[in-house]
Amino acid sequence: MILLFIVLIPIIFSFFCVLPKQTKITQWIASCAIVLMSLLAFISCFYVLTSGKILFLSNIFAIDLLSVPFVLVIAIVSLICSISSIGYVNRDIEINEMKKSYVKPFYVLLLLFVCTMYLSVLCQNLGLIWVSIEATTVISALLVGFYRKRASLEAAWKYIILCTVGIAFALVGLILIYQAEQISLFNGVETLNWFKLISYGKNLDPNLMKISFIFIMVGYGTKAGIFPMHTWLPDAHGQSPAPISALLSGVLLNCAVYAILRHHLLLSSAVGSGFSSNLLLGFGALSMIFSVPFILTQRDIKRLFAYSSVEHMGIILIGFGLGNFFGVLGAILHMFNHSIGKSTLFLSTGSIVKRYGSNNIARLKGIGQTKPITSIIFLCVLLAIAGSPPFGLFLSEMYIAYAIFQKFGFFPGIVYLTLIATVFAAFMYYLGKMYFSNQRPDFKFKERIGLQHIFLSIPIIILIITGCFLTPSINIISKIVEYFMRGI
Amino acid sequence: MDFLSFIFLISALWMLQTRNVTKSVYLLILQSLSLSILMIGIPMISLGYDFNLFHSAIAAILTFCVKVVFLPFIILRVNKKLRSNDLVPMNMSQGLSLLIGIFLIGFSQVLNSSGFFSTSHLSSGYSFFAISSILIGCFYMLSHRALLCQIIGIIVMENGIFLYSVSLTNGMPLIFEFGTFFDLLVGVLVMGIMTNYIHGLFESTDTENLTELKG
Repeated sequence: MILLFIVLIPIIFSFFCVLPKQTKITQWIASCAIVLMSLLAFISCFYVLTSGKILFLSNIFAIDLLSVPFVLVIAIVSLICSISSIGYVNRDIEINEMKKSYVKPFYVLLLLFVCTMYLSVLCQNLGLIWVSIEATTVISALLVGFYRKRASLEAAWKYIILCTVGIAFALVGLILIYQAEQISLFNGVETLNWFKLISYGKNLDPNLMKISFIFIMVGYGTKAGIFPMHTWLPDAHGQSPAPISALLSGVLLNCAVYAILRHHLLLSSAVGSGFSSNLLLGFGALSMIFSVPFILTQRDIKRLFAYSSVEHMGIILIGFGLGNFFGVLGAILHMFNHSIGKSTLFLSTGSIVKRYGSNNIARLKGIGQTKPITSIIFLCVLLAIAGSPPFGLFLSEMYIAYAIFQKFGFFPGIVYLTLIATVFAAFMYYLGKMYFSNQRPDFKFKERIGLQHIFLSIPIIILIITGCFLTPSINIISKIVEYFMRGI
Repeated sequence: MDFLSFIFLISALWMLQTRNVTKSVYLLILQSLSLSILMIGIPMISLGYDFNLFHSAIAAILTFCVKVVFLPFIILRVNKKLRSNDLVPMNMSQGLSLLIGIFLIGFSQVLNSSGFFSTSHLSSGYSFFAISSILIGCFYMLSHRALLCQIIGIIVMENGIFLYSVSLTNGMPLIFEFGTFFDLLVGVLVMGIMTNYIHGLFESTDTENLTELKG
């Protein structure tokens, strides 16, 4: 029942969001809904982690050890975004960027967006995962174009068209899986059920499954922002309101990765892990390599972080593609750390960008003097995302590096480390330009510490904890890794 | 069934040389209508006694309601609201567009006969028409530079994918079909709303205007 409530709460609360006249009440109703959902998500994750069992609901919803990190990420990031969005929306209203009448639709869409993301990681039916991921596109497109400016509408249009076409290819992949199921099982009941399919994995037609995975990879890969299907990502992340950019980068990309992983495990059970692992490694490496030139030459700060997301998705895919203990461990930790760090980075950037009225890095001078508290949070999460110790991303990147050295030897490992070092250097260069430069003379703004600053520093603490205290020997982490590796 | 498949393909092909949104929508209605009949006809012929009338009828009715009635209605309504009676700008001449369409049909035949898209177990002749429609839908989006044409292109692609599913599997699970139709319906509604906004800001629906974001 708990899983049903996670999905039902946002739907019910979205109706309540429309009722009150005051925008503040709408904001608090939406935030309460997300807090409730996150609480239920934490409880269900805790149950699965402690008992090791799979929580089912009438063969439609299920949460197993693989979905736990994804559910946790949605719970934490949506919580941060919903609370932070209150301040952002109020500031947008103050500077006439958003009309007061837009607040209700914004929160209704936000709730539905979070609901579809939960659905996509809680459904155990491959068809319903597809439907949920397509639903995230439709709803988030409205949020991307929420400011209704020329650039934001262009970004929203490109996003909805590219993702709809991309995900249509995933539908072709699903049809092929269904055909494989019909040929080998002829059961006709509970079709496209992942748990059933994986138990009969060896009976599935290997050729059909391989072709289907290519389509799945292209389809969900578009949604995950993997090179070369990533073109919508910098536009959408750059133009949407900061809390939405945070959700897109922190959670939505993971939902698509989750779908790819389910299919990867399914293909591994049918034909062995070689084919899908190689594809994951190939697309991961391409994403890492081709995002670097865009990071080095970027002028727009939000687009910079969007390209950084492409790079990090590449790292995650490489980790899962490696398939050994440290690769999978690194990928899971990296996915978790990146989501938390990137969403906080987008939220703090949103606050700075609003103050300067520009996304251009060259114009964001002396942020340390203009917004001293926000810029310290920005500095910490930027260092974290760049892969600096003591934050969790450093550790997860090193786990994956170790796994590459272990599996492929010296040269690929060095290439991987060089790419990471290049991105780190680029981020330090941009940070120097923004943080250690003089404040513009027309800016005399100082800020006071507020609730949002305390809230935004929680993810930094989480990142330090994951960087300093999370070791592979911790039982719950090794449980998740082993669960994944059993499937490969 | 062969005649309906032929209509399914020709209506998609004919769209490539049409520069009028209204005409394209009428062709889309024709294609979707033939698809809704094919969704009952193909399983009936291939399954014989095992034919599940309830499942196929629901899928066919859904196709008819969504793709023959609602979606064309939404597109025509948006088109009427925009009052854009002008010809749709194209990236190439109508003749070349048609020629490439014919080439794509030939390519689909090669793909279909190579077995890349299907196996010998359940493959049927209809998958050729489906693959052609998917490719033509993609190409239609590239060749026609109007926002509404991109929506039509997506529906043509989806029509191809649905024919592909019915030709290989005699129809996907009902819950999944409900989901896909719902997504498509809401998706087209959202695209329609966005077309309105974009037209309001850019005073045009030419996709050439949407090139500000680069790098």
